[in-house]
Amino acid sequence: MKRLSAIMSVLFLCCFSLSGGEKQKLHFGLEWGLSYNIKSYYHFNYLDATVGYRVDEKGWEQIGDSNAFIAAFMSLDMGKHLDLSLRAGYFGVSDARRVFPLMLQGNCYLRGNDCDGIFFSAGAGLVLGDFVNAQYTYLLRPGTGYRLALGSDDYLDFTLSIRCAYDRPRVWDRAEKEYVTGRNTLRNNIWYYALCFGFALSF
Amino acid sequence: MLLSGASVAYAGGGSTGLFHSPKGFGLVFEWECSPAIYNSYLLYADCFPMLTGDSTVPGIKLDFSHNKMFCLSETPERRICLIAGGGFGAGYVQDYDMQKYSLCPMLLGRTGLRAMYTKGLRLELAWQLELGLSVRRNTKGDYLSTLYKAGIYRAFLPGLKISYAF
Repeated sequence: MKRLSAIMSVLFLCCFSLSGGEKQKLHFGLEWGLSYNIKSYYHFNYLDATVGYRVDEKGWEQIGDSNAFIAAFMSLDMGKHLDLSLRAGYFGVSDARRVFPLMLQGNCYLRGNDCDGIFFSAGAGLVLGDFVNAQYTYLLRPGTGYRLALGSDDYLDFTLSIRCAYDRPRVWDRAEKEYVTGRNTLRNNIWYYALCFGFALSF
Repeated sequence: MLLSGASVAYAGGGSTGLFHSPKGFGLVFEWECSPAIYNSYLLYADCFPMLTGDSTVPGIKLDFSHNKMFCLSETPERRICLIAGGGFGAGYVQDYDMQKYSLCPMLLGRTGLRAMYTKGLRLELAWQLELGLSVRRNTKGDYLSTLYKAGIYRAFLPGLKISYAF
């Protein structure tokens, strides 16, 4: 949590310092699209319920499930080439888990905020519901895209990104054919890597 | 105010693009007959039963609508219109609370907002009410037709068309 806050603060400060006193404009928008989970890296460590020995499982897994995502955002122009946005939305992390994420994302436009052209983006965030049970799901989203400046401060962006989601799911004990209890779970880390393709409209 | 006369955002002719909605995804072709009237042809995969977990296979729908535009605001780069239209369509889709797919001819009415840009891009956010019949065969082989309920129940779901006038 502290690391994530630090990353968000640094990103925000960088953008703010680079704004160079230019006029800052606020935009509102919506992003939506599809994601395809390519791979996941898991590391589970738990105590077997009957015998009591420790089981350690880790490795890469091919997933191949697809999900949709949607997010509303508010972005602030930080100079001619940068903007910083706060995003809240809804998407599927995996086949069985849907989340409401809150993300901070910075976009760097090579030809300027209000011109057609390629941009690069970097975002980080966490899942909203996890504040309650303190089982944080972290999100990182580097990406790229193409901006179409439609005129009258309206923009259509085509986005392509890799979404890395760190989650802590319940562990399935293959030998016992049941979920491991929270008390017997020592480690339940999983990273999902998904390719996301989407559209964003902002006004 | 019904639009009359030429406008900077009016290209005339055809535009093609994509349809995005919680109902499904598809392709759209539009023909602007005049600055105030356009026809829309839409072919899309009906994915809503997949979203709710009722099905793993999408249905398919094809519809045609004739639309009128009423200008709300206009700048040199953009024109925003209120649209209203009607049309007809057909689909091979899964109705609300039905397990099987059925053939559904339908009449439709639609309304929404449309933004037209001088760069040739058109954005349309619209809601569509579909009144149709769900035609299927029962186990005895007889044909049954019932009201296509999904067309009414899912009318509140908006659809966004993004198209480009070449």
